[in-house]
Amino acid sequence: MNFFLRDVWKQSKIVFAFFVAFILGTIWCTFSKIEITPFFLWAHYSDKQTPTGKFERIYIKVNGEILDLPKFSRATREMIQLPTEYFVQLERTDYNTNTRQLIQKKFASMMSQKSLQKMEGHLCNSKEDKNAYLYWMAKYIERVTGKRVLTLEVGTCELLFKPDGTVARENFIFVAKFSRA
Amino acid sequence: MIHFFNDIARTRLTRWVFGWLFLVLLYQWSANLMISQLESPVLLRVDLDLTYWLVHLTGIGEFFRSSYFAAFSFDFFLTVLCLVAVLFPKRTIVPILTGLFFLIYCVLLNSYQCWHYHNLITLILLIVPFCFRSLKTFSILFAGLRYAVAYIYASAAIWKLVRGSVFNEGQMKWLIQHNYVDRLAVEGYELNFLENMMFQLSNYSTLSSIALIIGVAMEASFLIAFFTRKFDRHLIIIGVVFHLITAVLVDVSFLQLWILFLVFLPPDRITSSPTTWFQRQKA
Repeated sequence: MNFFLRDVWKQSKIVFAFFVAFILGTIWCTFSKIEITPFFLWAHYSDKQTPTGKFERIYIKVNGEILDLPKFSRATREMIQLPTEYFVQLERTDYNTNTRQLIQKKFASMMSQKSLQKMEGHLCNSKEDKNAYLYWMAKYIERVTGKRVLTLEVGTCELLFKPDGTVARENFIFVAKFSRA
Repeated sequence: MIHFFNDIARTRLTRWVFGWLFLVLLYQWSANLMISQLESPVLLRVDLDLTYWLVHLTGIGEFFRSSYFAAFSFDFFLTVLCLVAVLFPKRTIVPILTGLFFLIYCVLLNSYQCWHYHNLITLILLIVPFCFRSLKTFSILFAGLRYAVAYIYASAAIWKLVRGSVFNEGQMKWLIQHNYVDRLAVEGYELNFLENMMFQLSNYSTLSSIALIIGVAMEASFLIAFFTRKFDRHLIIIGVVFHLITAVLVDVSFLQLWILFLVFLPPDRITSSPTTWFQRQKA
């Protein structure tokens, strides 16, 4: 690596500066544990986990039946599952995200209240988005399944491994509901 | 030593990279994941990534949400640009525009998906060398990319070592269960032979721990790329095998990123024709 950078230095000082900036950016982001594109952190699956045989998951009921998420391709499934997980998280934290906290902490003193609200509007969701999210989810599910969504219910449940190797859904907690009147 | 590419090699690389990108986008279309297909999503998650902040502060996301025509035009141009780059590989402006459009696409998709995935956005790094007309700059940046790809895998191993997950008892069992639990919760779902074999691995703690250690060792093997080019071809095989295993075990293939292994291809192989490779192999 050091030889490579030496060769780069000999060939082009500008490209050398580009590489050094990229390396420094990556080091800073790694130690700060903050990801700022294109300085990515490759820490997937590195958190220590202990198997308990129990996993908390979201559930989505479409027209009264639980949506079979594994039948979709991973990419499509995640466009349904991940926003729903985030929605549940927003509901639990009263829409107080780390993005909102950072905006309040760093920009409140240097911006007017109006500009601050505009910035938050561009980058954060609020309680007013709850119904719009449910309506969007219904529309997206209609698109990928081709079926009309009359009612939609979102919540959390626990998936438990039974001694015989099967999995049961238990402890349902309701979060929100949408209905086409 | 930096290998300096000629025009033929650069043209070939451009066609391979942007041809791949075109296929990736076709898959995104088929999976209903282009911006115009997202039905104007409501939630967005930018976290603390300032690049995401910048894109959303321009108001481009809201503009696409409010206008289907604008979103469709954006998706269409992005797809066509990849094809134009394949057809006219010597026009530097095309990769620049493709890179810019692709970055915006990935940022918007990841924001609306509420998860900052790396499977697409990392391709931005691969596009960068193609944005420079000079063959010298292109060659240096492409050579640097080889270290960036090696870093991706090596750092993934280091994270697991530093956080201690690699030697954590039950880690692999948790990973396998975490991957299979949703499928098993569906009434009537039956694991196929391969899935069943992989799932059974979670019942054997020693065996599953060994599997995890082997996986991390495969990632760590990319460290060798920082010291020698001798094993580059082996790294391609290790990388592909690693992803095939993770695809079955934890449902993560990162298939879109496999094109990054191009940086481990010996430069003379890129310039020479497949006939020459065959003749060389025979000799």
